[in-house]
Amino acid sequence: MKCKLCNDKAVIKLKAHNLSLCASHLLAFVERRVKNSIEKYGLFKKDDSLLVAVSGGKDSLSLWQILKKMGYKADGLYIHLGIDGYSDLSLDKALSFAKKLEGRLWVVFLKEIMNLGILDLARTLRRTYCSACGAIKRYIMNRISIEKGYTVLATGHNLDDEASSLLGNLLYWKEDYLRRKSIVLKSEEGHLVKKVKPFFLVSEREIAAYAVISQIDYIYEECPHSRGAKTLLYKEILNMIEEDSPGTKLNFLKGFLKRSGKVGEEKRDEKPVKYCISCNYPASGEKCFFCSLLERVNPSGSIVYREYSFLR
Amino acid sequence: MLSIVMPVEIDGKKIEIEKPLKVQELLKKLSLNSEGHLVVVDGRLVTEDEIVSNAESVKIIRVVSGG
Repeated sequence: MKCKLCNDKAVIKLKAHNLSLCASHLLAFVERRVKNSIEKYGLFKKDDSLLVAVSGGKDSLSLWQILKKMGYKADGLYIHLGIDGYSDLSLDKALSFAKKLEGRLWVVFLKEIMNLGILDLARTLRRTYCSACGAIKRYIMNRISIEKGYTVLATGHNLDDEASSLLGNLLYWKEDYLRRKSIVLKSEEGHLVKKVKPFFLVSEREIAAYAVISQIDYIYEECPHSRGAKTLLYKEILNMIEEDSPGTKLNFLKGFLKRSGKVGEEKRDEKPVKYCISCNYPASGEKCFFCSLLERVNPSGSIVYREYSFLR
Repeated sequence: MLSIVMPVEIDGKKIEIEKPLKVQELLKKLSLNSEGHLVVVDGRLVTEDEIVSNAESVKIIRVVSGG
């Protein structure tokens, strides 16, 4: 099979786009998709200061590389969740990559703040592991963005992540989640940083190919606690449909964006918003869930960031 | 008759598959969805129509992640 653009040997066929591409044109394809999303949906501008949430996986590391390559000021943030045999390995991948990229990586160790790892915290919160993990990560990502003056927080959520969560939210009619779902979530001065998903319309397969061709050394192993997660089931189902009808995932998500109102003008919860008296994060009571949790498990604890700078 | 087999790596495990065969046949044989996997032959990403015959290493990469 030949590359449709230059006739060199193709390394991948993208059925959704009816395109076979060689290695260099696949890299250019993914980078162009990201550039188009940034421009079309007004994700950020050249003078923005970006913080990229880095997990050590293919999506976040590829995103960080692409944004740096495009000339954006982009630092990374890694959150060590205290998962035995997994967190140390993924931190190692994130740190090595930061060094290769000559970037700055902020590292937060959950156990340093809470004295507990994510599994114990999920039990304390009486939430499922993935739900507790997501909420705690969102809090820390937002807090460091505000405290360190970043104007935009970028995450590596891809087309498959978004399509699978959209399917899950539709199946159970989670209207609050559906209302909040967007490629960009606007900021609230002093409370919430602007959040963007530049890979929103780039598939997991396209990103994995990008990472393999770019020789990005990412963590291949799955989080041991995500086994059996519904998201993985939805992804598998969507991939079965995609194999039969290429382009379905993209149409599903683009159709949602089209129907969900003007992108970027996403509505937040319409209930009156209260803010935590300790940290200014949105809260249902006096204190947000994170500050209440900290008070319970480690009253003398506070957020500690470690900075690893490989900037030249 | 002796069959000619080659080692294929997937999720850190090695399995043996008869060769030669096309990449799409390899995925089908292992009941793997092409949308959820990439195949790397001797360090190079390959398309599904490629025939794997004299490869030294074949690795199947699962692209689906996240919980």
